[in-house]
Parts: sequence; structure tokens; C-alpha cells
Amino acid sequence: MPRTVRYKSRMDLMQGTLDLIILQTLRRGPQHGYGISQAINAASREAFKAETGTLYPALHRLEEKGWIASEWKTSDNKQRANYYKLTAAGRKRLASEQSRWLQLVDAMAALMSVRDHEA
Amino acid sequence: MRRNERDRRLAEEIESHLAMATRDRIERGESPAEARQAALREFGNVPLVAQTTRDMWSWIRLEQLLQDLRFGARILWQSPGLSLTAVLLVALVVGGNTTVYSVVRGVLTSPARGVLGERLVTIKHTEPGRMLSDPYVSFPNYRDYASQSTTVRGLAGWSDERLTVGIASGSFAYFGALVTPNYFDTLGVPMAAGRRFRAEDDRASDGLVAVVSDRFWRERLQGSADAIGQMLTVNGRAATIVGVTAAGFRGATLTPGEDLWLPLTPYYQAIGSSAVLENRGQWLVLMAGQLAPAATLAGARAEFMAMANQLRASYPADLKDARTVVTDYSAAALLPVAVMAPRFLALFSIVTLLTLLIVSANVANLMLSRSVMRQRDTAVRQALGASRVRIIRMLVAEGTAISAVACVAASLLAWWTGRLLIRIVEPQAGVLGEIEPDWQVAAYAMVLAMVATVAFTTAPAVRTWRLRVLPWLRSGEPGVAPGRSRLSSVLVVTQLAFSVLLLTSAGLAYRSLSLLDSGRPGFDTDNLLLVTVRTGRTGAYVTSEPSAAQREAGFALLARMHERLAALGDVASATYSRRVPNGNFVGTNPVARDAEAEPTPAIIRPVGPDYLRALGLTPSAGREITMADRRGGTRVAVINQHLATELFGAQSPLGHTLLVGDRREPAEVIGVAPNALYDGPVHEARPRYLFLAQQQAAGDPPVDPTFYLRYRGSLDSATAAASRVLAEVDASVPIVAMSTMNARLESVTVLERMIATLLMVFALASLVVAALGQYAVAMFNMRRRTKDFGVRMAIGASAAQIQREVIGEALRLTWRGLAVGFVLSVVAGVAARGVLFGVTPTDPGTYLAVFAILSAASIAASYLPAWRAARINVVEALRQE
Repeated sequence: MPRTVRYKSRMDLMQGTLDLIILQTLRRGPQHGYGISQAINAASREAFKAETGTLYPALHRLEEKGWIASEWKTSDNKQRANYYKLTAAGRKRLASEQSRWLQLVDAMAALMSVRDHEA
Repeated sequence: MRRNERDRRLAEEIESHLAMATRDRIERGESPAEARQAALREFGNVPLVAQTTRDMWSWIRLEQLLQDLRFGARILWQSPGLSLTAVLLVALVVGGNTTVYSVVRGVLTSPARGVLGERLVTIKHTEPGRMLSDPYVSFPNYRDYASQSTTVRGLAGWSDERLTVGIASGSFAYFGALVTPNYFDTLGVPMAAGRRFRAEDDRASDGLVAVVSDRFWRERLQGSADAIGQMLTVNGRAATIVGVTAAGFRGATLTPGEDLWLPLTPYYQAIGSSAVLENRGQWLVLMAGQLAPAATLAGARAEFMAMANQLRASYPADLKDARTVVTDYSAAALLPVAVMAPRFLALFSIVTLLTLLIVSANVANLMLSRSVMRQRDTAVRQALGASRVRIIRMLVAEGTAISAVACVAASLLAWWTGRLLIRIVEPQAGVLGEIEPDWQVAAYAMVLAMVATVAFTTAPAVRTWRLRVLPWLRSGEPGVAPGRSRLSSVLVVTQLAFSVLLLTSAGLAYRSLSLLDSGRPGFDTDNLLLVTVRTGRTGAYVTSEPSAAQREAGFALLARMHERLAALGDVASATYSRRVPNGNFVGTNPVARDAEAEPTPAIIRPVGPDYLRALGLTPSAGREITMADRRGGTRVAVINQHLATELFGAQSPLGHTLLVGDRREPAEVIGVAPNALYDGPVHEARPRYLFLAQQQAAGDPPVDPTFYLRYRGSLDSATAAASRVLAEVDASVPIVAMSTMNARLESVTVLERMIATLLMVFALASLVVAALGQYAVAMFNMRRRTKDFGVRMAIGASAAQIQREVIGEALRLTWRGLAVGFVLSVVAGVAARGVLFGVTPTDPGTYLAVFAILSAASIAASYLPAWRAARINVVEALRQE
């Protein structure tokens, strides 16, 4: 992918998308905010950068909606941190979001191929 | 407290984030100070992050709501025409319904002005099998009811009476009432000065006392501060004023408007007719009382029923079939209109529901047409991850936004039109007091409208979500969910049918009343002055029979006054009559062709000479009653065409002798009068009249005869001349009332006309609603088929063809709606037959008018969409998805 496109997607991280990414990240187990941000950065090969200014509001919003829950725990290196984990509702939500996302990708791909034909 | 705790936790969470980031950096070899700085830099603005995060806690729901509402508002704003229509529809129906219902209910159920008592009930006398029966009960029965009842306290009785009141400045005719001493206490009438009646006032030896109205006090006593204690004469007996009622109180019933009250027992004793107080066959008083604290209306009904049965058992001769009915008190409860009141209210409740249904159908159609435009939008939202709940919530928000705006508009409308309407329909200013919109009704209508709007907004979405998302995202798919247009057509037909029903009912009611409106009772009502004088002895009917000499003197006085009035230069013709159109019960008496024949009920009217001429009529056969038909001569009669046809068919009735009344007194038919509504409205399609010469009538001369003067020139000079001449004949005879025939007729049907006006306003609003709804559907269909039209125009269809087709489609719906509506109307009309005057439930005029109006409205409503359909850009239409 060209670099400009990668830069652009960093700018346009949609709200619904971030939710999906957070839920997906937490599928691997409980994690604290810092850990989640690191995981997103790493997993998207720095294509998305989770800004704290959007990440924390998103975490609290998801918790408010009941899709994730949090708990204070002490990490391996004795650091107390707020760990987030998926709830049952969150799991269901993730599943439906995923299928929807795939549909959208499908549809987008279909649209794109139409355009290619016309062009 | 909880928030503080969460704040602390958030600070801790951010701190732990920073600590971990710092540690990572230190592990990667940065110095502690640098690492901390870098972590902070990377984290960004800490307070801002904390703030945005905090916003997620408690405000998330509110924020979503606001978002939804913003969304709803935006959608409304996007298609302002559609939104305005929806808002207008809901506002019209909710506001209009509230107003009309409140006013009707107000008129039929509010107490008279100045009556402040609570839990008041009226007890009236009825006769089974008669719809309009006399509500009066005899005084001995009243006494029994009052002393025995445990459910009704302070039972008051009163007898309305015409009173001639003498004060220093002259003698004046007033309506008043003879009342039991507890009358003012029970009704809770406040006094502006002096006192109410007390139990002592019932002792005749103390002399008569009187309470006067605020109006009387101002008009006749010049509002003098020492009115209390002043003396006046009432029907020739001296009385002392002991109280003045607070402004506004004119008796417990809407009509006739009383100004003077006297204790009942002492009055009858003073005029020497105490016998009437013991006569169980003499219906004398109206009754009202207060429901005891523990009693219910049903309990009172049972008790009074039992007491009435017992009375009937004890006095079978006097009380043949008397029954009592206990109802909630209102100013109209004892008037003829009260018999109709429950029907009117029921009618209006039904009409309210109908219009709500119509509007729901309309709003549903509007929403359906919008949902077509929105299907793709919704699909995209779903694809982008909006949850179903959220989509529904947005739609609910949209519906709520419409209803919210509409309800505000409706409240304003109800408040404003209520005031306006009451001014339009009020019989006399101030009679009804203030009628506030009935907010209970408003709330009920609003809730219904809201539920309907939201339901119809959301329903399409529920349907959509079952569908797969993908087709909607692809281009080239049809833009409408299948089956939609049939639903919307059904809604249009339903709505049209209800509009027809509403319009025909209103039309029938209106026509039946307008027939009797001034100018259309069948005689010339212009330049006709009515002067009512009190020539008879007031209360004569309750005292002993007048002597033969007194009777003759009475008839002679009448003849003398008539001669003088007829001779006036300003008067073209003059007559007199025992009664004028006055909205009271019109009684009938049997008239038979001969001794063997079955008698026919007819309205019998003793009238003066030249009666028909004064009304501007000429007999269609024979001659009319003239001065030549004197006392002692052959008794003559003029019958109207209806009665002539009924009795004689095509034969000439002239010269036949009819047997008139229960006493079967003979009278020779000398003429046939045209059919006219001589008494104003009667609840009969073909009223039968028989006129006798007043001078030849049996019994007493009329107490309050009315002279009909057909005047030339100005009304002012006619009234002045009439007053002068009457005073010259006998200065002691007071003039009771002077009014023109037009004014008189108008006042007769005031309540019914008011209701008809309301119904008409209602029906017109419903017509607007129906037209708007049709417009919405035509627009919807047009939009749905734009591409179709494009294709057809591309292959050669002309614009005119397309236009014809769209209008044709609308008309097909109209015919169906009209057909269903007319069937409903005939059913409803036949059911309401009894309420109509002079028109049949299937009055062709009304039906034709409704048919024409609705067809025109329907064509108008579909014209714009058709016009647009015919002018679509073919290329764009074809490209449309």
C-alpha cells in the first residue's frame, strides 16, 4: 500500500471502527488501557495509532454500554492498573460487528469492482 | 460522591498508563526524566483526555438522546414540506378536537355562572316513552324527597316565574324564581351584598323578602349602596330586598336568565294560592341538591327511584307514571338540550376518534413515503454498524420530534381557537363564562397522536431490518419495499371514508339547522317586530279561575291594543299570538276529521287577525282569520298544507268542521296556510299546524301575548310608536320583551346551531386533513413510479397521458373512499334521525355537496403530483435508482 493512504487512515479512525478494534483486542484476554494502545499500534503495523484522547473515552463508553468491564489489578511488575475485559454482551456485539464489517468490505469490494469496469 | 470516586479512579488510571509508558521507555534506555516527559508528550493533554473520558460516563445516554433528537430535527428539516404537513395534521386534529370537545362539553356540563356548590345533582321528573318531558315535580313531592333523602343534602326546589316588579321608577317585567330558603346555600351562590335566604324567611307573617341579581341592582337600583332594606312590589305584593347576588348569577339554568328570587311558600301564601303547595298533581318545582359525602350518584338514583315508587303507590291518582332521574348538575341539565347532551357528547367522542384515525392514516402515509426515500440510508447505517436499537431509536426520535412540535402547535391552537370559538357560538356574552381547553382530552389526543406517529414511523424500519442489507447497497434495485403501496392505498380509502362520514353528518346537521335560520323558516322574517306584553294576571294559572268578566276584559284589552297598533302609520300589518318561537317544547293536540276518524296530532295555535299577512304569507286556499271572526261567532280554523294533506289528501278541506283538542271542540276550516316553521325549529320533518282565532279560543286570555308588527321605515321609530301606543291603552301593562323576529329565531336554536357550527368547523378541518393525506399519497405514488414514467415517456407516452393516469389513480381511490363513506353515512344518518330537523338522513343535497367537495379536493390534491409527474426529466428519471 502506498504510504499516503496509510497516513490517511491514521487520520480517519472512525468511532465504530475503534470500538470494533478494542473489542477484537480484548478477545485475547484482559488488558489495561496502555496495553490496549500498544497492542493496536503493533497489530495494525502502526497504520492506526490509538490516541489516548479517543482510546480512553472509547473504553469508558464501551464500559458504559456494558460491552466491557474493568477491574483494578496489579501487573507482573507490581504496577497497579485498570484491566478491561470483554463481557458476554461484548462478545455478541463483537461477533455481529465483525459480520457487518465483512459485509461492508464485501459491498465496498463489489462497488470498487464496478467502478473498475466502468473506468 | 460516586463521581468523585470515579474521578479519583480515572486520575489513577491515567497515572498508571503514564507509569507503564515511562517504565517501557526506561527499559528501552531513556533516562527517567526524559522518559516521563516523552510519555506525557505521547499521552497528550491529560486534563482534556480526562474530561472527554468523563463525558462518557453519565452523559452518554443524554448525549445519544440529543443526537437522536438532532437527527430527528435534521430529517424534518430535510423535507420541510412533508414535515410541515405532518405537524399541521397532528396539530389540527389534536388542537381542533380538544377545542370542539371542550366547548361542547363545557356548554353541556358546566354549571351556571355563580353556582359554586360542589357535588351538585339535579333530580328531574320524567315520563317513560316521552323523550322531552317536563322535568318539574309537585311541591308536596319535593317536600317528601327533601325530608326523606339521605343521599342528597340540602335539596332545593325552585319554580321559575314571570314577575312584574314595581319600584319607584315604574313597573318592569322580569324572569325570577320562587325558591326554597336553602336555594342559595345549596347552589353556593355568593352574595355581593346582604344575605341569602334563611329558614325564617319561609314564615309569611314576617312579610316577603327578595334577593335581586347584580344586573337588577345596577339597572333598576342604580347600584345604590343602601339597596338592602329597600321595598319593591312583586306581582303586586310588597317585598323587602335582603340580598344582591354576586355578578354573573342569573339562576341555576342557562335560560331564561332570572333576576329576582322570593321564598316560595310565603309567595304563594301572599297571592292566596297556598293550595298549590299541597297539590300533588301540580308540577311546580325543579330540584337540585348536594350529594352527601358518602353517597354516590348510583346510590342517589336508587334512593329516588324507591321514593318515587312509594309516592306513586300512595297517590296513584296524582302520579300516574311519574319517575325521577338523578343526574349531575349543569346549567343545561334541566333544559331540553340535556336530553340530547349524552348523544352529542357520544357523537363528538366518536368524531374525535374518527378524526384521530384519519390523521393517523395520513401521518402513516407521509411516513411511509419518507421511509421509501430512507431505505437505502438505513441500510448504509446498518452496514456501518449502527445497531437495530439505535436505528429504531432514531426513527422514534423522528416521530417524537414531529409529535412534539405538533403538540406544542396543538396546545396553542386549542387555547386560541377555544377562546375564538366560544365568542362565535356563545348565545349571549358572558353566559358561558370562560371555557378552558379540556387538557385531559388534549393529553389523551396527544398521546394517541404520538403513539400513532411513532408507530407509523417505526413500522417501516422493523420491516426493513428483516431484509438483507446487501440489495439496498447495490445500485439499480427498486426503491420500494414490496406491498407498501397497497397499505397506503387502504389508508387513503379509510381516511376518505371517514371524511365522507364526518362531512355528511356535519352537512346534515348544518342543513337541518340552516333551514330554520333567520330568513328560511318559510315566511318573511325581516321588518317584523315582536312586542310581548303582560296583559294577564301573573301566576293566574295557579290561582283560582278568573271570573267570566275578567276573562272578557282580558280579550277586549287584547283586541283594543291590536286595533291601535294596526292603525299606526309605521305598521303595515299587525297580529298577535299566544306564543312566539322560543325553543321550548312544542306540544301537540289531537285533531280529527269527524267523530269516527282517528285523530292526527297537530300543533294548535290561537292567533290574532291577519296572522298570515303579518308573516308575509297568503293562504293557499280560502281566507285567513280576520277581525270579523269575533268572540261568540262560528269557531274558525286555518290549517297548514301538511295537515290538510294528512286529513283530506287531495280534497279541499274548506268548509269541513274539525274536532280540535282533547275536548273535541268543533272549528270550521276556512283556509289553508302554506307550510312554514311558525314556531321556529321543531323536531319534526312535516309539522302540522292548526290556527284558531284567539278571540274565539276557550279558556283564559293569554298571560303574555306577543304582537307581531310588520313595520315600514326604521326599527327605532316602530318600537317607539309601539311603546307609546301600548302605554296609551293601559299604562299598567308592562312590556316584557321587544325583539325582531330574526333575533328571536336566532336565539331559539342557539345551542343546536352552536353545535352544528362546531361540527362544520370540524368537518372543514377534516376536509383539509383528507386533502393533505391524498396529496401525500399521490406524491408518494408519483415518487415510487418516477422511473416507470421515465421509461414510458421515453418510449412515446405524452405528458398529458401520464398526468391523466396519475389523476385517474387518485380518483379510483376517491371513488372507493366515497362509496365506503356514503354507506357509513347512511347508517349513521338513519341512526341519528331523531336529531335532525326537516331533513331526511339521506338528504340528496347534502350528499351531492359532499360528493362534489371531496371529488374536487381529491382532484386538487392529486393535480400537483400529476403535474410534476408529467414534467419529469426523462433522462434523470431513467437514471434514478
